[in-house]
This record gives sequence, structure tokens and C-alpha cells, in this order.
Amino acid sequence: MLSHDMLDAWAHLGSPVHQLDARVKLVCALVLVVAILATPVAANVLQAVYAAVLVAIAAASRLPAAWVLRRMAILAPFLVLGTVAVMFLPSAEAISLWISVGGKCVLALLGSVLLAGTTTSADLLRAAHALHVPRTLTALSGFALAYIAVLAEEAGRMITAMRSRGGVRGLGRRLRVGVSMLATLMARTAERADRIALAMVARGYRGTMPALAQERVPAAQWAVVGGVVALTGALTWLGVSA
Amino acid sequence: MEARRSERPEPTVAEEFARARELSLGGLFIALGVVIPVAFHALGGGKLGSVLLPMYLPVLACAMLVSAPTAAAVGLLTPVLSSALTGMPPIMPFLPIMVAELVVMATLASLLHRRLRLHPVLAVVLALLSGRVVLGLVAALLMTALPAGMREGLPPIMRTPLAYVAAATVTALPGLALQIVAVPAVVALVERRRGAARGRQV
Repeated sequence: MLSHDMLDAWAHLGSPVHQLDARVKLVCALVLVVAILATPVAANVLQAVYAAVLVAIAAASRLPAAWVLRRMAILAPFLVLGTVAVMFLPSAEAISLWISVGGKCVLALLGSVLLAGTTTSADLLRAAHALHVPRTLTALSGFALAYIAVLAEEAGRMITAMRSRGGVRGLGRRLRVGVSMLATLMARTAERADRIALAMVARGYRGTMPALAQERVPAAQWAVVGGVVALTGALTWLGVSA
Repeated sequence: MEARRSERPEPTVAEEFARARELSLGGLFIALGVVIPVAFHALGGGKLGSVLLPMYLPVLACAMLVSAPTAAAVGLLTPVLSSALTGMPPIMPFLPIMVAELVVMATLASLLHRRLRLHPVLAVVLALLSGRVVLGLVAALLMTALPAGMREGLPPIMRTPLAYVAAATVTALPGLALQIVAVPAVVALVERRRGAARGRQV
């Protein structure tokens, strides 16, 4: 799941959504997710409107449906568990509540999947920096995004090696083996961090990561932000006043 | 301004290396904070996450090795990136709770171990206790500060923050024990390996 092609796999398509500036997409996604989470519980019609908006964006982005669904599948156990629980409490209120809570989770995740699917991680970090997110946070996120796949592969190799040496039986032994594997993985990661730091200093790191200058966002693209803010504002007002 | 800037002494190579190491260590342990929970979920299903608290392990271990501001940043970014990349923890209500909990725990663990030189076991225990307090405070804050519509979407047990903390603590007892055993062991292992590497360089 956490492979090298997980990030930026479809971020280079030429759809209208892909061509929007990363700063515009980041602001729109944040506004949409906050508005979805602020939807009142009983207002499932509003959630349907948000769902229609997000599905329209997904269609315009030309991201493969299978890829989007695979990324959304992480919510499946939570949704199944909740649905089973609601089946044992078959009141109209419980069902409405569950549709609202489950719907909010699905829509918020869909919003972030669409943002991640249509923007490269480097562009997202640059956008966050341009929107005055502290440089330490963007630098740390950059490191994390670059090394997630590397560390996932290393963890996978350790698990394969453990299985090749023969299965471990008994809960106590399995726990001991698991903890020692985790400790080794973290110690190796710390050593890798030391080597990276040495390489950074050797290449002239002087306390801050270099940042490229960014072009101005075209006025027409800010209109998209205005549209999203107006739409979510109107829907939130409708939900609150109802 | 220029004159004041020129008065500041140039950082030594050792200081620059220390800063670079904070950054790389923080970034890599955030990555571990995304990878380890996925492995736990793959091995034991979704329930294992709330029982063994796998995201706490790399955050607390990293906090013992870096300064308090970097530790706070690691505590903030780990659940946010994990939620964005894997959907875990869900944005509502668990992401804000975990962010507050991990920021406080990581900052405190770093201050206690690196500034006050407390034993790692004691530092982890105090950090975990502070995490439980923050859990209750954030649950109470969510129940009072959120608009009524959003509040109804929270788990019913959160309406009584004390009961919520008690239930979460009982569920996570194996995980809390795992942190107390594993985090000091990892810190000791990293420091021992670093010492050995320094010895080889000399």
C-alpha cells in the first residue's frame, strides 16, 4: 500500500483540476472538508449536495475510479462495523445519525484523496509554504513523504526475513519478536537519519531548506476559491438556519 | 538589522549537523509513524490500533532524541499525514484528539528526558499520564465548543469525558505497557549504536 508509486501516481494528468494552482486546490480542499464536518447531523440533503460536488470534481479530474475507490477502502472496516451496529438499533434516529457520521467521514476522505491525487506532494508542500505554514513543518513533511515508501519496504523485508526463518508460535514469543523488530527498525531509521544529516551538511545545508520562487496565482483561479467559499457558506447557512 | 545579523556568530559545522539531524530524524520518524500503524492494521485488523497505540511508539521515541519544538512538530504532523495518506485516524473526532495528545506527550517527553535528564522510563510514564489528561480535556472541549449538530455525531461515551478516558485507558492498557517497555529500549539502543559509531570514527 505504501509503495513508491502511491504518491503522485496520477498527479501528472492534464485535467482542468490538475491544472489548477496547488495553493488554490489546498485552500478549496480545506474549506470543503471543514464545511462537510460542520454540516448539522440531520442535514443529510446537504451532504448529498457535497457528495454531488465532489463526484463532479472527481469526474473532471479524470482520476481512475478504481484508484479512488482503493484509497477510500481504508474506511470499509469502520463503515461495516457501524452499519452492523446500527442494524441492532433499528431506530430512525440511529440510522439518520449513522448516515450523517459515516457520510462525513467518506466525503472528508474523498476530498483529501482528490487533492492528493491531482497534486504532486512537492507542489503541495510548496503551496503550504506559500500559505505561511512554518518552514519546519513543511521540511519535516517533505522528509516524511520522501521516506515513507523506503521505510515501508524495509519493514516489509524484515517481516519477510522473520517469516523465512520459520513462524513464531505463542503470544509471548510473538510479542517479544515484534518488539525487537520494531526496536531494530527504529534504531536503523535513526542511523539513516544521521547519514542523511551528514549528507545535507556536506552539500551545504545552512539551517534552512532552499525554496524556489513561486509564480502569482492567476486571478481567474482565485475565482474558483471564491466560488467554493460562496457555495459552502450558503450551504452551511442553510443547514444552520434549518 | 544588517549589523546585528553580522554580529551573530556563524554556526559551527557541529551545530549545523545537529540541526540537520533534528530535521532528518523528525522526518523519518514521522514516516515510521505512518508505516508502523499500517503494518499493525494489516496484521491484526482495525481494533489492534486502539489497543496497542502503534503511532505513539515512533513519536515518543523520536521525542526522546530531539528538542522540544521538533518533538511537538513530530507529534502534530504524524497523525495529520497518516490521516491524509491512509485515512487513519479518521478526521472526526479522533484526529484533533490525537494531535493534541501527541503534541503534549512528545513535548513533555523531550523536556523531561533531554532538559531535566529524567530516566526514559519515568519520562515515558509521565508523558503517557499527561496524554490521558489531554484526552479528557479535548473530549470535554469538543463536547462544549462544537455546535450542537456536530456534537451529536461524536461517540455517545464522549459526553462523559471521565468515562471516555477510563474506557480508552482500559482498552489501551497493553499499548501503554508496550510504550513503557519499548520506547526506553529503543532510545537506549539508538544511543548505544550512536556511541559505538562515534567510537569507530575516533
